[in-house]
Amino acid sequence: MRPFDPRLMRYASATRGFIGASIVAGILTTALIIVQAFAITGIVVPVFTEGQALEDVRAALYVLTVVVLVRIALAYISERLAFKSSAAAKSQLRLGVLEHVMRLGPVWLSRQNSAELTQLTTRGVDGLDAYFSRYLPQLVLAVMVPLCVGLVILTQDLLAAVIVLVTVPLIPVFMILIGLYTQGRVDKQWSTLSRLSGHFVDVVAGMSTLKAFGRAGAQAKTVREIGDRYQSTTMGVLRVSFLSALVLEVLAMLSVALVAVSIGLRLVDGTMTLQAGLLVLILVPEVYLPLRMVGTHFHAAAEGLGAARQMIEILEEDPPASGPRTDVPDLATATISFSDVGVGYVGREDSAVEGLSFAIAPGSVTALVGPSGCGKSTALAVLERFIDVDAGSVWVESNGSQVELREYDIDAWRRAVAWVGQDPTMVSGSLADNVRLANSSASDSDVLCALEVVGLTHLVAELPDGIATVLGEGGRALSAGQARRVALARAFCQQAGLVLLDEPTAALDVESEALVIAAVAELAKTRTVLVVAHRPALVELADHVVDLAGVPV
Amino acid sequence: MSAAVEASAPEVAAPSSLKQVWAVIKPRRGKGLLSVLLASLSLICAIGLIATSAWLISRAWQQPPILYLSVAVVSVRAFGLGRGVFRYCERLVSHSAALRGLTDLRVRLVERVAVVAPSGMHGIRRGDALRRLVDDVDTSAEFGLRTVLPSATAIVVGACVVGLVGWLLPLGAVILLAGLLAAGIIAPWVTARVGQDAAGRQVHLKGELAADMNSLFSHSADVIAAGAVDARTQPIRDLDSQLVTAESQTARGMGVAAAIGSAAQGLALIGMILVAVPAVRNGELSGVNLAVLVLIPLVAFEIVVGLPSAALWLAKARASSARIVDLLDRRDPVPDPAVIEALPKVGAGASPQLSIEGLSVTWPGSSAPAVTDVSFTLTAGKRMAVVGPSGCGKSSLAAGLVKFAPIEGHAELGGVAYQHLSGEEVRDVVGYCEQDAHIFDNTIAENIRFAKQGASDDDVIASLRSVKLWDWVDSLPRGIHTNVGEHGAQLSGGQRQRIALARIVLADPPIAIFDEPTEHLDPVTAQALTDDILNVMRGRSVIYITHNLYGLDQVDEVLDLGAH
Repeated sequence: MRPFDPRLMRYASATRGFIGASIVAGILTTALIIVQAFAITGIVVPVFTEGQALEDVRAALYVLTVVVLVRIALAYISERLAFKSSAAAKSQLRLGVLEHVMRLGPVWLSRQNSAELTQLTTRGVDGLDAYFSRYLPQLVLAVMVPLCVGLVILTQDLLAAVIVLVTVPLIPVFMILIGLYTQGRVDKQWSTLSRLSGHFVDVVAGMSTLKAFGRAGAQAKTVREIGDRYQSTTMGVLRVSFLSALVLEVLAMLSVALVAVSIGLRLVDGTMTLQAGLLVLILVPEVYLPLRMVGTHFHAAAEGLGAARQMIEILEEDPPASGPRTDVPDLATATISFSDVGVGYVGREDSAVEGLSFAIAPGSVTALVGPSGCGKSTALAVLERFIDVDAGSVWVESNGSQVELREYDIDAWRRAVAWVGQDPTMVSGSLADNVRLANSSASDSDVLCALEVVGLTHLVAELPDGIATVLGEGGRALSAGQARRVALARAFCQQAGLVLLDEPTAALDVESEALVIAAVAELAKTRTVLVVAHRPALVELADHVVDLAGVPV
Repeated sequence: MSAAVEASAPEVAAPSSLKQVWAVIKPRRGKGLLSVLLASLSLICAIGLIATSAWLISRAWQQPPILYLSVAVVSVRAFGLGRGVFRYCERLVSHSAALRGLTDLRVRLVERVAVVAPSGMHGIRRGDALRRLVDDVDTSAEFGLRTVLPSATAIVVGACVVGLVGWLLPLGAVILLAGLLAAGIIAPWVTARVGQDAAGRQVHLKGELAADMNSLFSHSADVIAAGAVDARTQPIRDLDSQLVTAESQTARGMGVAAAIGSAAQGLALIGMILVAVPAVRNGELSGVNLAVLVLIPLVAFEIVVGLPSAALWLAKARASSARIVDLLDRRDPVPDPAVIEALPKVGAGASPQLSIEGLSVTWPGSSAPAVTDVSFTLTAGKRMAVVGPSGCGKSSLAAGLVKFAPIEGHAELGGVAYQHLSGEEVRDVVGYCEQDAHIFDNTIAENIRFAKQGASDDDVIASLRSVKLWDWVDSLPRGIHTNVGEHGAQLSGGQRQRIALARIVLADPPIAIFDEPTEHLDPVTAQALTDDILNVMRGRSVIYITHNLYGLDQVDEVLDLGAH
């Protein structure tokens, strides 16, 4: 993984301040390390060599105390700042993704696993805590400390500086080499590994199916066998991936040992002072410490950064295009025509369309018919701007002027269009909230009126709190037919000139179907209606029928 | 939401559940002790390297004959090498022990789930809750690696270092011990307290946030089309800002913990100087050892550096093991009778009669029965449809009939009352095609073959033929050996149902129950599937559960549960 993703700064501005603070903290830490080393030497050497007392080294002791106090404060501030920045960055990413997903729309969402998506934005990014609090500050130190402390060592002892200069760059080089060498092996084993580990989840999730076929008893043995295989494969992976830590530790520690021995031998010769020797001995391990820490926190950080990167990738997806024009005409009096429209891959249920041409006359009811998968729902998605056309264009003709659909601002356009999907959902809130979803200024009597048009007056009477009854998750469940009619009432409230209906009578019993059809007829009195129809009763209602079966796919 | 809440109920964990889990995952004594020994040696090398170097340099300054230094020189080099090598060995040994524990725990859990599933799993049936259970197993299994090992190592190495310092200067040992205890006990304690607090409140907020986002995503089409995005995202923004506030409080706690750790080390260093310098003056401490004592606090705190995360893991493992034990301790809601009666054999191709009278089914953990007072007789070869609006208890009836849920009233199979039959006996005769039959992440062949022990490829192909999937499977480059992906992601809804149907065809039970096989399918596919099911099962007794009206003309009897 790259240690840092510049896009993170763009999408989570909290990162920017934190990186600045980390650099300041890094400079301060480096200075403290050096001052502390001088202070310790300044105490030990005179006491040992000249037999001085505490009072004689008072100055160095004061310096050391200050260093300790500043380090305590620094530890508090940087830890706190790290977690706070992480929380802010996570929130920025989370809300950014939320907003962007709503812009990308339902067609994009239908291609995603939305449960995984929410997991990613909540628990998934928690790994960023480790990235901010452990990895990033150590990364700054890993650059700064070897450089500055190395220079101080150089002023004291050339040989030690040379050892440091040779070994420090060797660490990343070796780690990269080992990484390159092992990556292939680890990757190959990784796919086996994730399959083996998935098996346990699979067995637990499918236990009732296994039990239905009398195979539950045999599972413990299989899990044991697969577990043993998992273990040996994992150990194979670990043997290799722990190697880089081994090399890092050995290089760092052996360098310290080499420096210490060479100092010792030169002190015996009398070619070096104890002051310089001790100072170098204290400083050399500090050079390697941040490098080791970066290695230690690499995995936790990679996880968090990986999740952040997935979110950034979502943020970089292109939503359906919006245009500059907000002057959407009254669509009840506009002619809308598809001219040779093509849409590429849409999703699993819908499908691609090609060369789609038809017109919707103002004030008419147009039915789209054809076998499933011929692009009926796609045509509606195009008109609701859930998806862009890839070829051809959609024209809106009103008062003699013709404007292409994509010229209009997406929000303004959607305000002028009402859409009722195949599976209308009830948002959490009251029945009234659901009816006025598209028109928050609708009064209670508007809501009741809309419910009356769709034949739900008796439902309101039955409900304990009337239109204030809570629906949706944890609330009262509606039948499919009732939900459809609430969605139709929503369309009434919206006062839009164009209404798009996707199979409003699918999977309904005869009685509910009749009620829905009556509601559609009521809608059509003052609006243009485009309806995807399956059943004959609905097709009969239409002024024009467009059969998409003839359109080559 | 209720399922997730129920699963997390034992959040306030009894320490005994961790003990119970530890008894399962505990490494075999040799491996556990070896890990602690290797980890201790590795840390001792790190401290020994600096301590010996300090002594070497101080002694060398006195310019003794070089021979006097040779032991120190060799030790310094050995320590330098030992640190990395011991650590590498320790990680291999301890990870291998942890993986063994993971397998043991998984096996125990699968054994239990095999007994209590599905109705004994109430509260953890949903995907998210299940996945959490799997995470819990991982968390608990790593308890030894993440908590026990670093703590044990800290005690061993801490004792060694304090002992060494005590040998040189007893007062110094007291100071070092105080520092180590502060950094090794107080700082981890604060971290764990803050962390647990965060886990409590933040997990709750994150759960709500996830639920709200998920529900917004599932309503996205309606909300976007209605132009109500801003209004509907406001609650999520509010939750998010609450979460940021909660996380900032955690940040303060983490800052305090870090400050305690830093203070312990710094004060130990100053304290050591304050006692060691006078000791050198009054001859209590040899001058060559001064640097040793002063440099030890700089490295010795590496002993306790991992303990805050060890304490955090302890808190996590406690909560996780409580949820695991909750499952391990569950009883079978439909236990087999003490004396199991054998089902009388019926002739080949014939089905035993299934008759029920005044039957009701109550799910464990629920107070009211899901379905009450159902009576019917399914004679050999009869086809019966069960209809009614959703929520009227059709699926519960099916679960009761295959002993997946406890029943009351009278049920009899082949003349033997249900309470004298084992669950396995009943399910041998009564095949059950669940509403959401699980599709395993495996090949098409293996997804069907398990339904009948010893089934060959040809048997699988024959069953694929009769459910009209063979043409499609045959067209795939890898045929029946095609992998269907996690939860059958590569399959369409209709194909999934046909795979489930193929299992029943292969197992060929005398009686088969189909629970809403056409749910979630479009009308054309649904009707074709209904026809095929009823066609393939011709001659056998069938209970066909549906809320559709299609296909009812093809059965002998319709039982309307909604009419109750």
